[in-house]
Amino acid sequence: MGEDEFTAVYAATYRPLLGYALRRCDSPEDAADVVAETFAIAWRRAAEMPAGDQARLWLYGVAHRVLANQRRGARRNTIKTAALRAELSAGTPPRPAPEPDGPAVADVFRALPDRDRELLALVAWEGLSNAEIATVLGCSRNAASIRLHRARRRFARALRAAGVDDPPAEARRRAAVHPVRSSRSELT
Amino acid sequence: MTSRIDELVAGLAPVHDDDVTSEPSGRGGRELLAAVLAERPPAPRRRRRVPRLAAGAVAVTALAAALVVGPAGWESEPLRSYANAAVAIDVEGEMYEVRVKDAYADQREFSEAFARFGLDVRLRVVPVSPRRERDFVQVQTLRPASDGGLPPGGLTGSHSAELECSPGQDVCSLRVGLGGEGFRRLGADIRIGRAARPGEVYADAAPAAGDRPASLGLTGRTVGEALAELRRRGLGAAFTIGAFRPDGSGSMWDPPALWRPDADRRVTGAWTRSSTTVGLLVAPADGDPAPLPVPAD
Repeated sequence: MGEDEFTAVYAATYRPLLGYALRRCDSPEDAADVVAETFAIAWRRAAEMPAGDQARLWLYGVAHRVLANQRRGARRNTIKTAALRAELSAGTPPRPAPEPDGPAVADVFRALPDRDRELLALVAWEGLSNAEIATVLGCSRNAASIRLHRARRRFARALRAAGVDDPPAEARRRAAVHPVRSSRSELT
Repeated sequence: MTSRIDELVAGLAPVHDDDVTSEPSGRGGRELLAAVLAERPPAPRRRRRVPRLAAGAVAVTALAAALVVGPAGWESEPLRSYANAAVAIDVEGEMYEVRVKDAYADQREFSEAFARFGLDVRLRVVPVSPRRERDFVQVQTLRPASDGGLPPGGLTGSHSAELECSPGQDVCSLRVGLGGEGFRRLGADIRIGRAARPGEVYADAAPAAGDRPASLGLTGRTVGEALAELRRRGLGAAFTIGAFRPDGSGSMWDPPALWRPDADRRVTGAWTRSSTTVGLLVAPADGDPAPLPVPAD
């Protein structure tokens, strides 16, 4: 893949990748670093990057591992991201104040294993289908479907254990009127 | 969305795509692209192949035909290649080559990729001594070749392994090639190293005759002298019973952890076993604990 082709992929995937990182990082600065490292890896491995929309999924997969490294404390910071950091810091709205009944749901979600959180987020935040999740995580579609089913079940069980049997309607209303990305329906 | 759970999770998203105002054509986007493109893609690495024999092997003869097995029931043709964001598989000649983009993050995906070809392969991250961190890679059969169902002459197998993980590198790729009846029947256990925590036993530390490193200076001393010296250094000891010939072959077993040989017996080998313990080898003697049977998998 040459520079022109990579630039086209960059333009097409820049915003989805920023959204992916911003939703998972504690700060816009961290998100800028994740996106920069992801694209740096993508350029180094441009020969392996698929074309079309598959590139976005492939980049999610790379970003997923960059995030895992970041959480383990490993950082590269070989790419200068000062401008992007400044842009994101200025342009990203502050996180909304929690709703009266919201923290319980958020706390339960945060307490889930990383793997479960990521599966649930890929569906609800990135709007991915099972097949697309399988591509991102590098597993079979069947495995993705089973893991997602278990993640949903564990989340539901944890909510019940936390006494959140009827999660606030507001949270669902927010999700319904303000989808994160366009979602695709798929029965599991 | 498929469920109420998904709706709840969607409601937890701290940022929506509409909130992202940065554009690839903006200053931040342009500078990042320029910085990325300024890094030249590295030239492809040459693969280093290290063929070895599996237990009981008589020749390095990979049996490709035996390995070309598609997962029955969901593929009409045998799989010959597979790739996704984490894993890429190629059938190269007589070997299955599997490359995982980040061995430290994608262990399960690695195993699942091999499973598509009917191979039982496990990738594990194990503690190793500081000098082997992110360098250690070991390939063994997953199950012992000790059952009675082996063909005359044993099983053949060959493998290659390359861990690309230089200091400071975050994402470490691993390429493993497996071929032969041995790995197909017994599975493969691939282990890569991470820095051991204090007290964790190093996976790359193995009993042998003599001192490793030589600075230990315990071989030839009595058990009593060796234990006293280790106490003086603030280290513990773990004993292994066994004997090795000059060519390195031999046998050994671990007695119960609290077992101690008589103080006047001689230490025949010593090795750094963890950051807090040293392994000590003594030759078998009457009255020693017997080897325990190997548990079945």
